[in-house]
Amino acid sequence: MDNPTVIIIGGGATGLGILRDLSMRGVKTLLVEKGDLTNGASSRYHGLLHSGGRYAVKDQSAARECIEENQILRRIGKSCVEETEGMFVRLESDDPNYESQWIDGCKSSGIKIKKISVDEALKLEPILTSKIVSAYLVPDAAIDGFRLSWQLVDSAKRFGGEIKTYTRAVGIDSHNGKIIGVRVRNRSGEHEIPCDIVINAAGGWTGKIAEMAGLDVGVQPDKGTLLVFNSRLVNRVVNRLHKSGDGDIFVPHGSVTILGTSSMSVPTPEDTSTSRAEVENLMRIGSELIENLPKYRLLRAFAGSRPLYRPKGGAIGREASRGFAIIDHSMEGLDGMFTIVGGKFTTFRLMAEKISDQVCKKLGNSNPCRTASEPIVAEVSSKSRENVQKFFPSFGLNLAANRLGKDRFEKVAKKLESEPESRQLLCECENITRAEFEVIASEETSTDLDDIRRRTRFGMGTCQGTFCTFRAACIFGKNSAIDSTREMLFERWKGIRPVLIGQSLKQAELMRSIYISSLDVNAGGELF
Amino acid sequence: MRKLDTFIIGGGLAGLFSALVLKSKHPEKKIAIAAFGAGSLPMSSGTIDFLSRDARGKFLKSPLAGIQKLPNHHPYKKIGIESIKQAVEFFRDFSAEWSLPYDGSLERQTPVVTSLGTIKSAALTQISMDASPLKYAQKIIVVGINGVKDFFPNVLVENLQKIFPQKQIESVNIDFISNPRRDPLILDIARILDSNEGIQKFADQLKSKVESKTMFITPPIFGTQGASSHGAAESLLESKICETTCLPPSPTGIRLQKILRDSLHKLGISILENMKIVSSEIENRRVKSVKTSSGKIFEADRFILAAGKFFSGGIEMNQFNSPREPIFNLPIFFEPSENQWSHEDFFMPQGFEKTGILIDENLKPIDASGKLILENVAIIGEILGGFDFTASGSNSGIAIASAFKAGDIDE
Ligand SMILES: Cc1cc2nc3c(=O)[nH]c(=O)nc-3n(C[C@H](O)[C@H](O)[C@H](O)COP(=O)(O)OP(=O)(O)OC[C@H]3O[C@@H](n4cnc5c(N)ncnc54)[C@H](O)[C@@H]3O)c2cc1C
Repeated sequence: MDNPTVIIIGGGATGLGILRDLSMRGVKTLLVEKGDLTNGASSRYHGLLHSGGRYAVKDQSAARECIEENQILRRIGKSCVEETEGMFVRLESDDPNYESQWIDGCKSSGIKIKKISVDEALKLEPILTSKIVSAYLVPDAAIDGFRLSWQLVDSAKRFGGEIKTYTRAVGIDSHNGKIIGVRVRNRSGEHEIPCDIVINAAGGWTGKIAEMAGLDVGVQPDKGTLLVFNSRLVNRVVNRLHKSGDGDIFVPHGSVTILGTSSMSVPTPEDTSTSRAEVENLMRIGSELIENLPKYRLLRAFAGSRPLYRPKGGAIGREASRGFAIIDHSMEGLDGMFTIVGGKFTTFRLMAEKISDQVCKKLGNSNPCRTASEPIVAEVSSKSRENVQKFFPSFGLNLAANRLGKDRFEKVAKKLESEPESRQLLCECENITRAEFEVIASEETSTDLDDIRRRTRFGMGTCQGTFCTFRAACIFGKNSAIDSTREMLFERWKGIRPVLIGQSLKQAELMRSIYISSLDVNAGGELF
Repeated sequence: MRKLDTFIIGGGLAGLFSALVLKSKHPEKKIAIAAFGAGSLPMSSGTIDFLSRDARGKFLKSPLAGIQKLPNHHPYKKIGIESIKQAVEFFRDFSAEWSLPYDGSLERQTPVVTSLGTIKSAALTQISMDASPLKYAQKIIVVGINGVKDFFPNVLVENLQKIFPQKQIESVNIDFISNPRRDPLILDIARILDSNEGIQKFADQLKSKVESKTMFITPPIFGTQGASSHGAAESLLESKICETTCLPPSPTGIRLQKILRDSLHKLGISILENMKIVSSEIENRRVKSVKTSSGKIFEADRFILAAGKFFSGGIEMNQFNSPREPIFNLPIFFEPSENQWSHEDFFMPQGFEKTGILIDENLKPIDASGKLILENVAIIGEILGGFDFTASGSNSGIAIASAFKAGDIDE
């Protein structure tokens, strides 16, 4: 893009939501992201499309925002939302007063709840402890951050929006108190992109970006750790009905379940490490809801940082507001600079709408926001699903259709039809065909296997890449197969390491025998 | 069942080989093997790796020289060099007798091409996997099979060209299966090449490619039993052919498993399939009997524990810092600290792989202070503790050597 009017820094849900919104209103907008999309909290998160129930006691305006956005996202982002519904359960040991406050809070926030009997709760979710004393159904759901983010890009592109991944903002340039451009660094070096407006949507990094412009916004990166289990332990989101704490929510996603989370202030959002103590802590608390929890296989642990907004002197950690703030820095003498901070994944669209309103006002653009009514991507028709049914593994078809959206699905379908070899399953755990992998791999934004993994889900299932890494590395072609194998396994290992117990040990032993003994990735040509 | 002389727990490489050695050396003994699960042989390349890297990851030209430099508490040192040498001889004779001859020696490594196009080293390999002749080849042809999963000739060409910049290396694809019902595996092709028609079909498609000093590299497709298919294909093409390793299931590992099982069958040793041993009865540091998951009891004078590590279930660990050997409840060596348990680089030696049981010179289990725990049990194979056999390239060597010793020293 030659002359963007607006440059957004940060390719998480917030930045991408703004990209879509401004593009739909006809504003020339470019988004730069230093890693791959969802490099930050927008994939390193729990994936809960909040009903608002979690905030009903503490922060009713946040709760109201959640339930409204929850309903909107079900409409516009159908293929990214798994309509699981949710359950809040109170255990014997939990404060009964909180329950009545919660009921009132839900009522006044507009969240529809339904009380069910303990028997009914255990019938719906038999894995739960029998120490439940009361249970409610709420309109929670699960949402896929990778998928939603890429679909937002597809949508924005249709209206002229653009993204550059692996492009880091390193400086914000101004002249006489007015923004003139953003300096970026990527593989081709460092250069300036001129623009009139900069939107700082860098999540946990918001403070660092503000510093580049000589500004100070109080953002505290707050790390949360999550555990992934290799099965669908529950069919609904299960929340503990008590004052929010660590490890008290289970969210089912496809064939896995995520337990989280914790809350810990960290100096930098780059810190995504997880420790044995965190794993043990989550397991201990999670076991209060599911007593047999240690019997189930852990796949991995991961962590992300929430961008918690802490205006000077404000609260931190769980006490800090989960609401969001928009700062127009013209008040501080930098015209054209905006920062958006805080919030939740669930409310990204609303956040984007609000800041886009302000930016458009400044630009004299009076086009209304349309993001709440138009679906993000066109759905794959049942006819085109039927056409390729015979090439798809039985339960892979609808999953692929949801992942790919209409245009890419048709591309993959064509490949499956004309190239029989592309029908092979590359990833047996997640049912990914070679065709899908190849279509995504050929896109410009796919620079390594990890980029493709986040979009296709290959390597994210039971075997954690034990079998598909080799295949993917050999097919990819943009890097040497040996390097790709190394990089991919190095990445997968990060999440496996903290949970090396039980079944994960078996998998790790097998993975090492394959890649070190049989395929000897470490070998040089010493023998010739 | 009458009381047994020796009861072996585990039907993998170590368990099967120990039975073979024991019965060959002591034909009068009454032996049984409990096998649960497939073991790791069908997963493995079937090469016998004695030692490829030292503790710092440096490549070793001679496994034997490397073994001599190991610390005294390493299982190889406990087994002893003499037994290791005899184990190699015994294995080589056995493999030749059963028509799957292994080549190589303890003094030097034999090269093996992997399906990633790297060169792995092994002390002993099936002759069909020996890649040494590549050195003399002028033209190397990598053979892919249309539609078959997990073999990518272009990747081998690219990586081998880096190792042999002067040689002409190319790839060709041949056909075996048309309109498969599911993704065909290398193993499916190997089954086809168990037959003469299969071998002929292979050779017919490549005959025209042969020039002087041409060598072929193929996935491991030459049958699931013995070396004869490979020999036949080489004669038809009048060229050398070497097989690569591959992702599991691996026909070369399956071949080794088959000759081990066939030879035991011939010796009249019963392999109790799908039998999981779950506990034991111990009196005065002697094991009297073991019990299966269905409650069946086996009494024996001596027991050999060859149950593998985590993958095969010989050791379980469901909570941090609490590894357990479920059958005899033996003391286990492990790295207790979080930092030592694993390394951030997947490809570096890993602490968790060191988990296992420590032994004395007679392979009997000891605790950390060196105290003997059980008198009539020998510990062999992957379950041995203290070292990461995968990182040093010694899993199968340890299995063969310890199994040989356990069979040889029968009391
Ligand atoms: C553990 C955890 C669990 C959560 N669970 C939920 C949940 O269940 N439901 C929910 O609604 N919300 C949840 N959240 C909150 C939610 O994830 C975040 O609010 C949301 O993802 C933030 O999106 P964002 O775009 O603002 O930030 P991010 O997704 O962090 O995006 C910021 C981006 O900016 C990029 N960037 C940084 N510096 C630069 C630079 N110099 N140049 C270019 N790019 C740069 C980063 O790489 C990053 O990709 C959770 C958060 C955490 C941490």
